[in-house]
Amino acid sequence: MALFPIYSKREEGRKSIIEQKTLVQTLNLALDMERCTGCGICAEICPEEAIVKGPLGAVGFKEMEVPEMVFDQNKCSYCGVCVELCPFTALKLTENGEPKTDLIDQEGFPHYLKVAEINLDTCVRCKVCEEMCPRDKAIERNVPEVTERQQAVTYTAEMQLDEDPGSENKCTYCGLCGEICDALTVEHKEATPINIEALGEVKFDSTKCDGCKICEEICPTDSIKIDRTISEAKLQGEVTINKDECMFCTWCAKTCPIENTIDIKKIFEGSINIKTENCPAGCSACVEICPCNALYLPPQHEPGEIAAKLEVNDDFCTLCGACVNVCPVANTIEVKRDVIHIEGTETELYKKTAGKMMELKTPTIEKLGT
Amino acid sequence: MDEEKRIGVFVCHCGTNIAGVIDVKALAEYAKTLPNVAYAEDYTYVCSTPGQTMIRDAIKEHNLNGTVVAACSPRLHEPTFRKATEEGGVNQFLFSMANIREQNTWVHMEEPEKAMQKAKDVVRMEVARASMLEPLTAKTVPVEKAALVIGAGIAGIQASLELADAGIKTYLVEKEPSIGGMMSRLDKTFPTLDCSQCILTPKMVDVERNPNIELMTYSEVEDVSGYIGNFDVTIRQKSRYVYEDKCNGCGKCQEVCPVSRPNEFDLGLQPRKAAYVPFPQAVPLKFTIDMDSCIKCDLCKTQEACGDLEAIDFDKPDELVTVKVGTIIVATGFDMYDVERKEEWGYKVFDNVVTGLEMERLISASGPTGGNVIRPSDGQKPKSVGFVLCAGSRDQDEEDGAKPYCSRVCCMYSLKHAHQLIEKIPGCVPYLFYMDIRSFGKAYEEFYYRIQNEGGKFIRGRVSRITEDPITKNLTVTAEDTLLGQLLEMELDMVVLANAVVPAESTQKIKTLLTLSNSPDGFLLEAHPKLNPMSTTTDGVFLAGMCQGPRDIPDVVSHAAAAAAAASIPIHRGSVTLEPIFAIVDQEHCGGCATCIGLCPYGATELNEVDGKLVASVNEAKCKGCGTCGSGCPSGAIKMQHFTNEQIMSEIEAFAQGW
Repeated sequence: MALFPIYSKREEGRKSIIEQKTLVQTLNLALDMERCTGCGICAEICPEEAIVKGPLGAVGFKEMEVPEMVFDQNKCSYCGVCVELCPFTALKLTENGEPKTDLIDQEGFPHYLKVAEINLDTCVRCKVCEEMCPRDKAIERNVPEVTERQQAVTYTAEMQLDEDPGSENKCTYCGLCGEICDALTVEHKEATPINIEALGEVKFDSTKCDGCKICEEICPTDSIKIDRTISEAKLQGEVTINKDECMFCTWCAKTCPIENTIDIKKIFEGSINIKTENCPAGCSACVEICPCNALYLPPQHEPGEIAAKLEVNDDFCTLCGACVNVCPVANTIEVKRDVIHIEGTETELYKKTAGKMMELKTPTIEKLGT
Repeated sequence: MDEEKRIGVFVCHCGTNIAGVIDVKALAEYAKTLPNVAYAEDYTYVCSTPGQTMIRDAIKEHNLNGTVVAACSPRLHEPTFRKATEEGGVNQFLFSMANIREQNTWVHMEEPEKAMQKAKDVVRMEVARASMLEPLTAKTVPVEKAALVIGAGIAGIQASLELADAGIKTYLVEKEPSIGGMMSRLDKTFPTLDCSQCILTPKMVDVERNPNIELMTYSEVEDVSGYIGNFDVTIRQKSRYVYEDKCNGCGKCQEVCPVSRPNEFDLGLQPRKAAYVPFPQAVPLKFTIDMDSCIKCDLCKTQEACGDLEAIDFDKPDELVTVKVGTIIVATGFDMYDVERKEEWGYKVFDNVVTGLEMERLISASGPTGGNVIRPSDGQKPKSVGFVLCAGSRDQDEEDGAKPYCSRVCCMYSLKHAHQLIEKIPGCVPYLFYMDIRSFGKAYEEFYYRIQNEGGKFIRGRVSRITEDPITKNLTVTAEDTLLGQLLEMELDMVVLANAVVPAESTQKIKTLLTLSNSPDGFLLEAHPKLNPMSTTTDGVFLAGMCQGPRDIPDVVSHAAAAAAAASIPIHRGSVTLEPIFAIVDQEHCGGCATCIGLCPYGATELNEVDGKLVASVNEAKCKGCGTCGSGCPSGAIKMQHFTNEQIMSEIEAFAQGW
């Protein structure tokens, strides 16, 4: 009846936004569909029960669409609990365009303990983690492009040239080394009849030396010695984990070639249990939806072997529950969270919420029209 | 009954109301021919003092023991003639009234002969009934020295203060968290431009302080039983989830609350928290938690917030309180017409079309913008503002739910808005599109002149359409200037729809509980529109303020004071006389079947064990004399006093004799 409040819902690109607007305040809760995996945690925990799981999108190979989360703009209290509990940081709450975080700022609700660190001392800045990460933007690898290999690593290089007149290895300034290497330049002094010896100077540019020591080998008089020390046996730059993007699946940590370099802690501890007797082989919806690539259809190793229908690698499962929501058959997958790692005060609201999150989740099939 | 019946018939001319249609003298002569009639006479105004004296004298002179007056509806003058009969020395319940005006000469004036025939029938029937009437004794019951006022807007506040000052314990029930009602939303009041809050707040504080007033906010009347003098009222005190005795109104709970919901008090123009008071001057200044939007994060309960006060309890239940009162005043106020239904004006479609009440909040210093009038679309100050008067009033369009009546406040508050805009925004021109400017109150017309002089533009014509420029969000108003006789199109920055006042939705429940009626406009029906506008047809229940019809603040206050005076009379008198028109159970014949228990709409029948047998009885005070139980009783054990089977049958027989 009145002009305000205005409740509305809109799509902006891949963002689904609900709004409560009064004359002086606009509250927006935006769901980023690029990030949402349809895990349904927000619907489980909304204190106002303002979020429900919508219908599942098209199921097709590599065309998996997540179940759309439907937000009720009228019921929502715009409190921000869902924003905190979305393991995929798919939700943003803003007040007049600025992030609204008063619930967390005042310690009215804890937040996930997000541990995802790369030890930069041991990390060699290789690309394995970036390639393994199931999510595109979680690994931030800021490593300068190697255009000249001499500059790829940090080093010091020194050249020693034997110019002792009495030495049998004295440099003859023949200039051979200069011909084959950019780091060396041989300059001859003008020849005079007084001195029939070749005189000159060998210049060394340490920034161009890559320590290959070809000059040592080629020198006819063995006059050159190269001493190159690599101070850091790694590429330059930094590789870090963006915690807003990270799903804490531990793929990077488990695949990192250097031990104890990546420290990731999963948000949930618990178990996932697949009852393959119920699973209709070949549907693979869960495999498609799994944001962390933890589920897989095992290959047939030998002819005649009946492969298992579905398996899970517990190492990578984050217990998000997306597979449970997408599975079309009842009681095939059981996801049970036992521990939730949080930081901050365990408020009563949190305890109630955590209780809901720790209930056993398994697919239930609702018949239409019941 | 053994005594010979001697009935006097008095035929009233009612000026020409009756005598102008039928031959009253012939009617009196006819009456003389009827059985048991000892005397018949006609007179210009039987209700006048000489007329009443005539009845008195005739009783004595002709030794009458029953009277019939053929005149108007008993609604008005039955008490008058009963009294005259009693003064003549005959029991007042031996009087009967024949209505030959409302249901006869007024409606049959084109057919005087048939009207005469009908008048004869009615007189004959009433004489027959009067012959069967039995003397009855009116009963008096004590009156509880307390009153209930429902609704704490300015009407309820005024009525409560008057009652309390008259020494009467008053329960003031308000469904919202604070008292103050609609008036607390207003900025200034016409025509004197007093700040509404400034004149209202002292009264609100008085209510809180008055020892005779028990204030029950966030409460609703759940049930009413009983009758004048002895109403039992059940009140639901909705849980605020805050203990009122512990809350000191510090507001720390509100500060920390992370929930943001539109504030109903501000018409959703600005947000409030889940823990809130509707406005800073609220009485009582006790916080309420809106459990519908509370997420129970407990921030309000922390040491930094409510802390040791421990005033907040999420599990606090609603409480049901029962009070006993002698009289009840209904002051449930009004709603605003849903002007969205008038699609031609684009309310809620165009950003810069607002209602009068929204303009009131925009213009209010305590409103969401601190009194800066802005266009909702871009926050800019409007330089030209159109006012559409009679937005839903004086409009016969039933499809849109518009109201045919004048809402009585819109002209004046629009004039006031016009004045405030001129004052607040230099160069701003208000354009008032009106049908007639109804500035009827004291100093109202002068205020109208004042706005004309200040530069308000008045265009006599109804706005037929408003359109919006999608880019500038300016509005183009189309109207006919009926004084110039030409069509007008005008681009304006903003438009205010002065929407009608309509009966409050919430009044419906109270109406049912108190068995009140409403007039065709939907407002509660008064006992008499002119002579008793503050009473109802339910004894002991009175009306104050807008629930009875549109009126401005001075009229509301007067009406409320009148209602309080009327409501205090039975209380101060200490007892009320009840009509002895109630059902009686002949317990010898009653079989205890309980049929009557289910039938009684007033809960007046009950089943008790007498001498080892279940029998029905009737609570005389609760019984309204409707007769439903009597007609349903399978053993004929229930007798309706004053409307016995014999009495009604005699009427029917008398009627049949004429045909």
